[in-house]
Amino acid sequence: MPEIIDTSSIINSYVPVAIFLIVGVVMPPITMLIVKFLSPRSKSKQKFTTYESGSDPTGDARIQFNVEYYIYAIAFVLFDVEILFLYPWATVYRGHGITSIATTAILAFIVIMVIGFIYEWKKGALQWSTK
Amino acid sequence: MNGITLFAPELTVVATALVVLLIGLFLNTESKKVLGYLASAGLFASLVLTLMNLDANAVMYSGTLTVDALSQFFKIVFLIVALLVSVASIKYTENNEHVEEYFTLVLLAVVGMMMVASSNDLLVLFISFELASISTYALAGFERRNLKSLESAMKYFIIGALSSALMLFGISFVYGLAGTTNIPEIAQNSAMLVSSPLGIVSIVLLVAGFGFKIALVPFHMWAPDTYEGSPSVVSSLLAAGSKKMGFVAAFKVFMIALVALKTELTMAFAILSVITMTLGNVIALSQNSVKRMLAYSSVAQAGYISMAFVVMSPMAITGGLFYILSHGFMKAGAFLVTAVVGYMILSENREAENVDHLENFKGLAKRMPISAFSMMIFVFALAGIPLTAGYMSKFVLFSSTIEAGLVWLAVIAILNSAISLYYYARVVKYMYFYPAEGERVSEPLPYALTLIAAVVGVLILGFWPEPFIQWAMEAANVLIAT
Amino acid sequence: MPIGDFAFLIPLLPALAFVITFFLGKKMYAGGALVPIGAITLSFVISLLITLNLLQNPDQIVAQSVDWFGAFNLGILIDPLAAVMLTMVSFVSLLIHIYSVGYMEHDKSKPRYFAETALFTCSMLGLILSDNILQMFVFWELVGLSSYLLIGFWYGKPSAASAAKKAFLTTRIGDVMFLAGIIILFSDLFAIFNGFPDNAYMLQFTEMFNHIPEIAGMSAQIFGFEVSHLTLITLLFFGGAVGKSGQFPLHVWLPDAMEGPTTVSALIHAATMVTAGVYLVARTFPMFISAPDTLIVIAYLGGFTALFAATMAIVMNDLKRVLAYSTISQLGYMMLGLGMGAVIGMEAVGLSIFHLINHAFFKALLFLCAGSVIHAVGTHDMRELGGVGKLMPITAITMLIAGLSLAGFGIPGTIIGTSGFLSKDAIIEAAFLFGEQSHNWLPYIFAIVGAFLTSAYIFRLLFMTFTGKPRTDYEGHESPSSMTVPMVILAAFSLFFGMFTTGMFSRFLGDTFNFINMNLNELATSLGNYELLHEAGHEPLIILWLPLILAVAGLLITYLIYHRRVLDFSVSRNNPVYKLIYNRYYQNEILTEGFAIKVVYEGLSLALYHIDRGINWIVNAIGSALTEAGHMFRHVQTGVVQNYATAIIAGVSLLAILVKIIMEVI
Repeated sequence: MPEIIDTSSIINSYVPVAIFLIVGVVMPPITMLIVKFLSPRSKSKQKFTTYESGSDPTGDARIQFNVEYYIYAIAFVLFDVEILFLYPWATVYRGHGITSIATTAILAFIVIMVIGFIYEWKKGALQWSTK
Repeated sequence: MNGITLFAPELTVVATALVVLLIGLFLNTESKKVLGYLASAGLFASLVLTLMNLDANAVMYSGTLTVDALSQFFKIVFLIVALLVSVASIKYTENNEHVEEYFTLVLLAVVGMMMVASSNDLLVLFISFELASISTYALAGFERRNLKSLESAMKYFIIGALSSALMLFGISFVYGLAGTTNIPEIAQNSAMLVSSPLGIVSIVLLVAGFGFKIALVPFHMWAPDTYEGSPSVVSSLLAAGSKKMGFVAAFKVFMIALVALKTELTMAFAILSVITMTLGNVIALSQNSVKRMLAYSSVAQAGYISMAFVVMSPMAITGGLFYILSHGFMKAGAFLVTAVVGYMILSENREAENVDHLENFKGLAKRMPISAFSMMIFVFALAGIPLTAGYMSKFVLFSSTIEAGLVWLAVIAILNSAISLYYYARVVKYMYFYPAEGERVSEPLPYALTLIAAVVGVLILGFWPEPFIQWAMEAANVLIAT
Repeated sequence: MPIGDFAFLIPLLPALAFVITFFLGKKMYAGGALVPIGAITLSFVISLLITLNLLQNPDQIVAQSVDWFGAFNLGILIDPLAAVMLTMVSFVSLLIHIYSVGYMEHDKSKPRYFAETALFTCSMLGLILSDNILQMFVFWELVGLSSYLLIGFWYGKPSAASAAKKAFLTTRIGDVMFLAGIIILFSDLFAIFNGFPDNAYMLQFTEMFNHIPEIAGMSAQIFGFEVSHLTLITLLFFGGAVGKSGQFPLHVWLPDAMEGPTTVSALIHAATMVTAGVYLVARTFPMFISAPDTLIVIAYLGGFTALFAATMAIVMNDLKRVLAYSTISQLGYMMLGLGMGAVIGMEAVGLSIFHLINHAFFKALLFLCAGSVIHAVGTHDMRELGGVGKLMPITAITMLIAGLSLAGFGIPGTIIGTSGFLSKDAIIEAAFLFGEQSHNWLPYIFAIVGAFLTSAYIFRLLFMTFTGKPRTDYEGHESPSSMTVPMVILAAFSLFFGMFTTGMFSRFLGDTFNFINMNLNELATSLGNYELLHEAGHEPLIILWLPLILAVAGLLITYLIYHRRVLDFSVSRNNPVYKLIYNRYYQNEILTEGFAIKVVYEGLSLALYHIDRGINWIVNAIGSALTEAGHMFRHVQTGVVQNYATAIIAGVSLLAILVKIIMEVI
């Protein structure tokens, strides 16, 4: 835009960012404090290990991970993406005159996801085999 | 719904892929053979659908996809190669429990390639590129008990990921400078690209991204390892199909979007193309593995085809496109022959290693006459012997180079062709002039069929190039007109 | 759908048969013989239907063409000339294929044999229906190739291998001349059209003929003589014909070509391929007739060959060689007939082609009979034969019919006579008219003496083979019906074909060049400087009867010598004339050993040896340098994926710098 911009307005436009920053910095300590005051305690050994979605968090870096862990993770990410798609779809579904196209499109999408899911299931990927 | 009809070929392939995957789950290993036929039928249907819409011309989905002579040309190349590969794979995947994955991946790779040919937007192009790449990464490592196959897949994947990153980086620069990812719109805003130093960076990054698929020196180094290590049928798909995807992407980006940078690019491409063809041919001279030799020959051929980017005249692009079409037949065929030879060696000795060694081609004319004859036609075509497809394509391309005044480039290319004759002829010598070391082996029907089909293709293009050159010219006009 | 639309199938079916028999013949009955037989039957039927259609509707010639390599085309042109040839070739080829089933019964490489003969038939048919000179040349080379393959069919025999080589190399001399002619023609037309025309194919016969006046206007200086381009081109074309049709002095390959199976000799080296040269001249006759001097050259050379070959045929002791020289001699008559265009204009085409067709029938029959004898008795030296007639009556009778046809027995002045009589006498009479017109009597003398010798050598062959007592011990039996049936059919044609067609034939062929809309006889006078006779010739009675009298004389003399043994011929063995002829005029010594080996071989090889060593060194140096470089570069390919990635990044950086530099420079 060719017009001369007032520098102060630029600074002003960063005010929301600053607020966001402050809230971001302050929020975690506050929540932790609240937790400290409000939650009940139970002290066990497991309690102090880091949470890694079920896999052993400590040890040699060269250990072999259980491959099922990754399959779960991938399935999780896939369905995450599905939600990510469905959400904006739901918001534009009405009011744009594309109802039929939108329905077919999302149905095709879901069918593909379902086929993938059937494949995963049938292949036994969801079975956590214990060695 | 015009869009759906025009994309019926792609949809057919996708549907086939899903059906193959689903059905395969419920079949036992013996009856999985039907999947190969299903996949081939799907590809054939798609080919027919594409042929029906040969002269379609439309831009759709908010300008992200386009169907024109160029895209149809490439789609047909991809589908023909895929059809050859998939029919041959019926034999290759026999008694394998992962047939459904195999064919699904092949089909998805083809969809990716076809979408690249149709893409009119850098993002769509990138996503389709990735679809094809990721499918082929998995295919390269399909023999998961074979260390070589795994190694090849790993190298392919790592270098592929790096190249994708570079390409995406390049696309982001283009977007930053031109403010759009739509290819024709970039062309309108390309003044920004020319004036900014970042323009160079974006172009170079894109060259690297496409050069990886095309196997341009120095982005070629994965190719010999991957082509050698992967199953031969997959190498065939990679060399004859996925390589062409790099070309169509490069054609679209460099000739439509970045046409303003033509002069800067010309010289750079000339140097790249000379280095690529020379290095490919020279290294191919001393290879003893036929697949490796074909891989380097494929690098060299990429060098020839890249001359189209140097000359950029309608005739040169026609020549390049015609070369791409012929190369699809010749290279796919040649790799399929190595697949047949591999089958022959392995059926004798399950533990055999280096099945594609030149020694194994000794006396092939006696042991498997159809394969040997086809191989002879393919390598002669690759060398550019008259009355084969290879000759006609070289003829058109080289003469366009001379016409454009780049005599030195044509001379280098012709010298290179002369060098290449040596290593091609060597294969023929091994097949026809050495005594056979073993019994006659009957060639499995799917292999024999595909080889004959490819030979017929090579010969038709050599004997009767007229209509195909005409067609390539129409496709080239898409690039020139915009 | 008019029958002409199927014309493309005529060469295509044998081509398919070639592919099928070649790859799958081993697994089929009789080495896959039925495939080419079926294919050629269909080709024959289509050709015949087209011919019949043309007979009724002379304007329905078949002309189709499609683009080929841009400025050229692939096309089909079936006018009366091509139609007649197509029908004859497919018919003879069909009969010979059927005959081969019996003849080649015991040969192991039957599939290869039938594949190669199918390939030959395909190329010959393709040659005939070409509508442009370039396509014709391609097929011309293909027939040469299949002839080479078939002469060397028994390549294990050194004589067969060297005969094949000789045939290939000798005809190659002619082919080079033909090609040179095409190139000159092309450059002339290129100049006339001023580049490639948009709406025409310049090497199509139509275009060639339509531009004869322009080409005639061009001339070149050769040894100080002003030579019209038209004469140059036609003489070069004729040079090609000389090679293919075994005219003097390029005839040397044809007798040796008899090393191939007898069926091949019958098909290729008697009935069809060797007539390709005659066909070439007939096809481009509008150019020949407009070219000054060319026809005179053809007449002399053809006449001389007719006589020259006949003298050699009379002393040969090998059945097939007699027939080979006879073929050369008869081809000479055909050429002579074409040369008579100088006096009778375009009618010469009909005259010559009529003899070509009749010759195809009786000469193919002669070869098949000879093959039948060889098949049964196992030798083809006539000195060892004798009395075969009793063993093989059908063979003897059919061969006698063929011999009568060749010698030309019939009643002059009427249309009653053997086929050979009707066509050969017409040529001899034309030669007489030529003599009267131009006072050049030489062609006529050649022809008439040749006619006497023809009768002499063929009856010598018949008497020595079929009559008397066997000179060595052998047993024989009549050949199987697959062999005798084609022989009987051909015998019928040798006897009657001429009688039924003699009038019709020249009228039909007279329509050949109608498609170009030019008065060609006028061209002959205006451009070619030939004086044509405007009304039918009137020969004295003696001239009409002379050929027959001479033929009978030949018969009588041989009867006396070889049957009654009245005249003792063993004395004559030592006279110099016999020696000269028996050694084939020492042409082998002069041409092969003297010229070819001493001068060409040794001289050239010495020169080439030194040049070669120099080139060899350079080539080796380049080759090893490249291979070394390859080995060196191979080490760049380490196989370590990190290095590959490094190379990519380095490549990107270097490329960026490169583009930057280029931008700066520009």
